[in-house]
Amino acid sequence: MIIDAKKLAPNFTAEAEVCIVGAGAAGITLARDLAGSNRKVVLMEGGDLSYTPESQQLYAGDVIGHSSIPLDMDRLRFFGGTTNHWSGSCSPFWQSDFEDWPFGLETLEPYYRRAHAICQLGPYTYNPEDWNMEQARALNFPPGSRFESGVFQYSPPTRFGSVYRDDLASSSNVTVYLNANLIDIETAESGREATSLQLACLDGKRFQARARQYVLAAGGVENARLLLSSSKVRAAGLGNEYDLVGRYFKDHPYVRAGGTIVADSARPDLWFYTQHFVGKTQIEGYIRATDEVMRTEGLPPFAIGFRPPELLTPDFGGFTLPAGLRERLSTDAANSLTYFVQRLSLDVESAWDYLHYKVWRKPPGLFTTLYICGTEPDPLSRVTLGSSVDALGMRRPVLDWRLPSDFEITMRRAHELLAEELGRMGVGRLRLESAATGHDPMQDVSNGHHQMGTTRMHRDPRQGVVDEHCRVHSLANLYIAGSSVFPSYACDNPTMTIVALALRLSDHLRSLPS
Amino acid sequence: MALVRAGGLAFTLGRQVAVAATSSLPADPVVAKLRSLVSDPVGAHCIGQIYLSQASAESDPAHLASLILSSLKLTSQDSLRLQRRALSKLFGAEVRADFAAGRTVALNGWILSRTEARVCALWT
Repeated sequence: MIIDAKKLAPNFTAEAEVCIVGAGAAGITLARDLAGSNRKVVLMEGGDLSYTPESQQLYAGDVIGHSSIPLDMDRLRFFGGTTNHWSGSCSPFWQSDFEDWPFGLETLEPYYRRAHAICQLGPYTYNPEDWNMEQARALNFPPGSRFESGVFQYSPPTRFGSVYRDDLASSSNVTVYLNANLIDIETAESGREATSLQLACLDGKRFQARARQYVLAAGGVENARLLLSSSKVRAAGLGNEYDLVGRYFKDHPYVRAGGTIVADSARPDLWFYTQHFVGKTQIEGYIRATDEVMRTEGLPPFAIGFRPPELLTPDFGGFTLPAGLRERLSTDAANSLTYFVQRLSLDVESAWDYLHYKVWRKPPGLFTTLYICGTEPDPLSRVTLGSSVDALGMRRPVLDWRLPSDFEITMRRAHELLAEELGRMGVGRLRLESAATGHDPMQDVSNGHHQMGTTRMHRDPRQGVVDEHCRVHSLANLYIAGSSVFPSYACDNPTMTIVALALRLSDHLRSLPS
Repeated sequence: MALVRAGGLAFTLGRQVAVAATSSLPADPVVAKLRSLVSDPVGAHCIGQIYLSQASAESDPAHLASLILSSLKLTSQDSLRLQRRALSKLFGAEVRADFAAGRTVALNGWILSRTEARVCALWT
C-alpha cells in the first residue's frame, strides 16, 4: 500500500515491526525483501512519487573543502531516490577491497548475486574473458604484469521507484508513506534504544512511527545528518559517542584525460576499455593495479578506462574534457610531439595506425584516460551540521570533502606504471597531460556522486558507528543501510554493494525474534 | 583553420630540420646504422633534442652509440654485420625490456623507453 502522509489524520502513529527511512536503492530493496514475510514494515519516503522542487530543497547544504556539485543536485529526494538518475555502472568489490571490512567478499558474494538480478544486469560474471568479442578484447597482460583487467556492467539503469513500485504497493505487509520526512529519532532516556520517529510533511502535518527496529536508508549525507540532528538525549547526536558520525565522508574522484594514449586504433584490446555493448549488455572494461603493486607502490585502489578522441569535442554524452585542457590540446606545441612519437612508434612496433596529417588537425592520440580512485578513509573529510535550517527546521548539512594530499602524485604514478605496461606490451605510448600541456588536472577533479563512509562499519565502537550487522553500536534497535556504512570505498559505483548489504540486513532482521 | 596553418608551418620547419639533419650525416658507420632504426629524422630530431636537454652528458654521438650498443648487447662489428631488419627486431625487444624495467624517460609528458630516446638523439 502507498499512502500520502499529507492525508493522514492528525496525531497519526504508524506502527510496525520494521520502520525504514528512505526509499532509494537500499530502502526499497530492504522493504521488498521483507514483503511477504510475517513482519509489518513501513517505509517512510521524504519525497513524493515524482520530483518536486520543494522536497528537493530539503537536500540543500553547504559544500566546503574540495568542490563537489551542490548537494541538492547530487541526490534525488523522491520515491526511488538517486536511482532516478544513476548511470547504472555496477561491479562487486574485489576481495582486497574488503580489507577494512568486518567480513570479506565470500560473505557478500551470495548477496551480490541477488543484487545483480535486482539491478537487472546481464550474466553474473565479471571475468573480462567472458566479455571478449572480436571487436573488443581485454588486454592479455603477461605473467608478472603489474596490471589486470576488470569489468563494469551497466544496469538499464534500473529506476527502483518505477520498477519495484508495484511490488510494494501490492504487498500485504509493507506500507509506503510518501512526503514523510524524518525530523527526529526519539530514544529512551538511557539513549540506548530508539522508541519512535517524529515525521513531518512540508504542509506542516506531524506524525510519528513506532517500530521494533528502525533502519535509516536515507543516503550518505542524510544518514549522518539525521543521527547528528537527533540530539535531545545525546547532545552530540545518536551513535556519536566517539565523534565518528559524519566523519570519513568520501566520494569517488574522477579525473578525465589525465593521460593520452597513442596506439593502433584497430586493436580490439583498447576498445575493451571503453563503454560498449556485448549482446544486450553494456559493459566497460577497466585496468587496475594488482594487489601487490598497490601495496608496494602505496597506491589506492584505482580504475583506468579509455575514452576515444570523439570525446574531446565539447559535447559528447555529457562527458566533456575540461575547457582549459581542450584549449591547450589545440595548440601545435602540444600536438607536434605526438606526431613524432607516433612516427617513432611505427618504427618500433611496426604495426601502428599511421594517422599522419590527421594528427595536426585533431587533438592528439586515439584515447584519453578516465581515472577513478577509491582514496584512503580520512576522518577530516566529513559532514557536520551548519547553522542554517531547512523548511522543516532541520539544520542543513555542511560537507567538507577532502582529497588526500598525495592524490595527484598517486594518480600520476598510476599513469606512469600504465605507460610502462603499455610500452612493455608493445601496445602504445602514454603521455601525461599535465606534463605536456601544463594543465592542472586537480582543477578538474569531479565527483562520482557516491556519498560514502559517514557511518562506517567496524566491530570496535571506537572505530565505527555501526557493527558488522549495520546496527548502530550504542542503540539496540537502530540500523543503517546504504553506502554510509562502507569503511573503505574501492573504486566501483556503490549501488550494487548497497543493494547486497540491504539484502544481508534483511536476513539479519528476519533472524531477530518477531 | 588556425590548426591547419600551424600544422603547415610545422611541416615547413620540419623539412628544414630534415635537410639540416641529412646534411650532417656522420662518418661513423655504427651511428649511421643505428640512426636507420628510425625512419623519421624530423621527429627523431625533435624527440632527441628534448632528451639531450635532460641528458647533456650523452650529447656525443659516439658515446650515445656505445650506450645503445651496450643496451642491445652488441659490439660495433655485430651492429654492422646485422641486417637492418634483425637489428630493428633487437631494438624493438630492448625498447619493451626498457619499459618492463622502468628504464624510461619523460619527454614533454611522453613516457618513452630510454633506448628509443637515445636512438632519436643520434639525429640531433
